[in-house]
Amino acid sequence: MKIGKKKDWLLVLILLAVSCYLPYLIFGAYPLTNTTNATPDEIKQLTANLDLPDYYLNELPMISDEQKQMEADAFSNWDGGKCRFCHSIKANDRDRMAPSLYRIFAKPAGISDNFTYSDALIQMKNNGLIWTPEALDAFMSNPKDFIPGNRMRMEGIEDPDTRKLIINYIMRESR
Amino acid sequence: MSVAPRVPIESPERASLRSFHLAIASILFAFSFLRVYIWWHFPPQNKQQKLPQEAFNQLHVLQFTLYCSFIAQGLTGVVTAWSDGLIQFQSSSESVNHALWVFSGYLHSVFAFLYIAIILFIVLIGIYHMIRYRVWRFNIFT
Repeated sequence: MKIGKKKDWLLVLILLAVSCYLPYLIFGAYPLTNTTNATPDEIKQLTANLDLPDYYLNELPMISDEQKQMEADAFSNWDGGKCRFCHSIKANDRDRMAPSLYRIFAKPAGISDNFTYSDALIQMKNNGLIWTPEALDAFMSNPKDFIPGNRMRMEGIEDPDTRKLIINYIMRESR
Repeated sequence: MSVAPRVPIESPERASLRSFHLAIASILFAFSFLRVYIWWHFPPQNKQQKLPQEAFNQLHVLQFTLYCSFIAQGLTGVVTAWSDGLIQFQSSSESVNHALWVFSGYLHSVFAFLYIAIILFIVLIGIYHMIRYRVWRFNIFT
């Protein structure tokens, strides 16, 4: 079969090239993963000389089922943070498109496994960013300004109550 | 009030929608093979007097690519589902491979964008040729 001229196939090639770029542009997806982003020694080095609390040491106060559901909704739903669409959170969750949030608090940025971080996140890791509830709150409120060039294609969550619910959910579920 | 464009992960609705996705995609995948096979052995003929062969070929390159992109979409979809553990060809086999899931999932998304773009171009170029050459017949798309 011989149909079409070079220019017809050139159009197909251009469409293919643009399509290759769109998942990265729109979703922040990346086709390759790094199995390991930081060895235990590197993590120790990044957190050395830092007086960080163990956020997972103490039991959290009991809350009502309704409150739990509100936290889960804030984390998962489209009207909330939409976090669950890309992030896993529990120890036995399978990794998804974005880094796992399991035991995220007091961790340096950019060290989760099975993910290729943007240069911006690696730069923040080298600059000593540690994920505390306050840092995560600031990041969620305006991801583009907090870490310019990161690949989380999300608008900031303006409502402080929603951000608080998400942080509480992560604190509760990622232990 | 905003409408949720995506169903929450781990909800029962999502599980049934995923099954629907897999079922419809499998049918489309199989029919795409058949369509390309027929195309290959019985290439479409330009039966329009008014439509130049060059314009006819341009549309049909795009349509042939559309069917090929459905096949590519199906192949990457099977690999994505297999590497995510959603389908197992052998019950004893380990089918979870995160790196493969990420790579094939990315390609799955690429081909989705590709066929949306191709459909758009087929419609736009088709309408352009219809107006330009005054061919008011939809069989230029066949």
